Amino acid sequence: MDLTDTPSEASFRAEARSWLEREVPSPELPSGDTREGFALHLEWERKLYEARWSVVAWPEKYGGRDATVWEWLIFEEEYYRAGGPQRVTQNGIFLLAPSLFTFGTTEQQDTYLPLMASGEQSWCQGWSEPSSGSDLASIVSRAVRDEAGGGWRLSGQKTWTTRGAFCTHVFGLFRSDPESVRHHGLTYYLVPLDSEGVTVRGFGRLDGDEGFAEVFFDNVFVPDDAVLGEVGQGWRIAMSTTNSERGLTLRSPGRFTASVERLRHLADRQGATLGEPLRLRVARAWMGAEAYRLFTLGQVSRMLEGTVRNSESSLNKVFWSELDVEIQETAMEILGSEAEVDGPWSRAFMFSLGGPIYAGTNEIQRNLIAERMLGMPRR
Amino acid sequence: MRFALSEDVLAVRDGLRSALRAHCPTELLRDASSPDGDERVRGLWRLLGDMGVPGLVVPELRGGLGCDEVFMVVALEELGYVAAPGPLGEVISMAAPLLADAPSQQEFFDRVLAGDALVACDTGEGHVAHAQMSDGFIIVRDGELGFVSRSRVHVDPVTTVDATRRSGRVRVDGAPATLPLAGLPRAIDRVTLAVAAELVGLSARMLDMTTQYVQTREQFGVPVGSFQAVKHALANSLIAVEFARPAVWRAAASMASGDHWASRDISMAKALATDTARQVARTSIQCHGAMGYNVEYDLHHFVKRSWARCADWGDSEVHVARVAQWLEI
Repeated sequence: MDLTDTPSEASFRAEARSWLEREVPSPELPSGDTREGFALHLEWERKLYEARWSVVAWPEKYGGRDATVWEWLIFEEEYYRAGGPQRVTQNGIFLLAPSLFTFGTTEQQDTYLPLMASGEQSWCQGWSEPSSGSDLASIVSRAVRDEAGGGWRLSGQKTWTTRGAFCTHVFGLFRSDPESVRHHGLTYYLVPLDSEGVTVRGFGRLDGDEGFAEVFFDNVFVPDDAVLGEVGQGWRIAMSTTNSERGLTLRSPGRFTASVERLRHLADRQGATLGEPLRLRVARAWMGAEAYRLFTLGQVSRMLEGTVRNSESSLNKVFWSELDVEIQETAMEILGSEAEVDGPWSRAFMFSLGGPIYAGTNEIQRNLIAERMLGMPRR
Repeated sequence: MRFALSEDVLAVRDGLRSALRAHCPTELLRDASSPDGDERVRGLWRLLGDMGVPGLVVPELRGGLGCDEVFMVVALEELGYVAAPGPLGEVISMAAPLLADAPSQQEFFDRVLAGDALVACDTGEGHVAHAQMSDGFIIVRDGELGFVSRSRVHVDPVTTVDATRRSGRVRVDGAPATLPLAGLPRAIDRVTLAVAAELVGLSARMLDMTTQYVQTREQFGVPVGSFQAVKHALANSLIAVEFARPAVWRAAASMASGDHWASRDISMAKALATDTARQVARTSIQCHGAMGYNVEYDLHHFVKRSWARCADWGDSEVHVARVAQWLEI
């Protein structure tokens, strides 16, 4: 058991820290979930890419550093410690790229990964539909074979698509076998949002920013090389990476460690007027972030030793999302009536409430934990 | 960076696990609540003595195994899992290492290492767990540290919720033999850590029992474990256990390496393990229905031990407050 950096990890950390301390924009960028803010964030992504920090864990030929998982965790910790901006390209980098690495052809990898790393292409996720949220396998958007054109015709509607109004591409699941039901007969497609027949309508999330979009597909043509993996294997491809080492990448511990540091400063500013109950809640929030960090360190050790358990990432998901709500609710209470003012704290609070919903609701995660980890019978 | 148990630790854990599963069945817990069970309990202790368990963290030069706190928490989790009767947590983490530093108690110390003598710990805060069955007492009073043998102690039995603890109120004749005070803060940290580890083991056991039960118990024609309300309660219990355990490991590693923050880490571990045990105990009773609400089914042993251990050496809020102090919140 050794929780210290090796010499090479320490020098990686030092390099990341000094670069971030110098380069992280100040004052903070406006929200990346608005059109203007998104553009400014892309400039930041470009800067990260040029210094080879945008995708540290990727191979060098795609703009990464071949970093180990430990180094990736270190980078994340330093990134959030330095107050680095939200990563508006994260859904491509963290959700699509792992599948591209595993299932993509060399051509697809060479085409998409470098542009994803540089932020020239930004990806949003086209999974949810108006009638398919938690019940994702009920997807009805369809793909019809276009033999003459050598490709597929996509039709239907995706929704709650994060930053869909600003991204250049969408990765989505469509029903390519009209006879199929549930998770069979789905195919994973890579689609430019400027394709003919695509209409995007942005709409406000809980905080009012245009962070969500509906994406309509009206007989949109995509060539055969827009299919990721095999036809009909979309579900398996979409799910296979959720429990890989990159399943972690949705929320690394550094994020919450940094949130709790901000909470401690907020508590500090209250000085003696902060009562005992809130002091203890701040301490509990700190313990929660530490517990998440420690769990993750153990999990990464298990991954490297090949002993990680099926569906373990569901434990992470429930824990960090509940923790985030707890941190933000504590901040709201400390702020009292000032919590109502529109600003970073009230926005972080509203954002935290999405955590237990997106990426599979916590109710679904608890089902998975009970059925796959504890062996409870399915109904 | 590596946050996983070493081969050596795993070997100790596996050896202890198979011994305990064979020699500490739940029938032993039923017997342990009355003096009639004393001989069986002492038999288990002698077996553990043969394995070196009481002297796990005692230096090899003093006849122990010379293991560090990481070994200790792994052992205590196993002992918690079977709710091993007797003051094992206190003996392994506190009494044995303290007596190792007291040459005047050599003879008694040798018996402790052999699993032949049980030692209770009296902090002056009320009744003393295991007082009725112990052969010696560590006495912590007003910043002083002492030891007395059974012959100089009056014990008034007290009936407690966990009857296997065989508690009592203790009155000492005369002054206890003094032990080197320097070891006390570390001993208190270590016993707190030991109890945290025990609570993780107890929680894991209650969760395992409940998981098995709800898969076989049928209502409305299906196993009750197929209902989402039950699944979610158990998922929450697993999450609690899975996030408390690494905190216990880290606190053990901090203590073993002499880390400046070890006491803070131990308080965090005890608070999380305590919260976990309370939550899992409550969930286990609820998911067992009336089957969990009686003394003919074994769950109650683990639930009652958990409640007792939650309060020992500082309950959750006490330790959260200490964490807050360490962090200067």
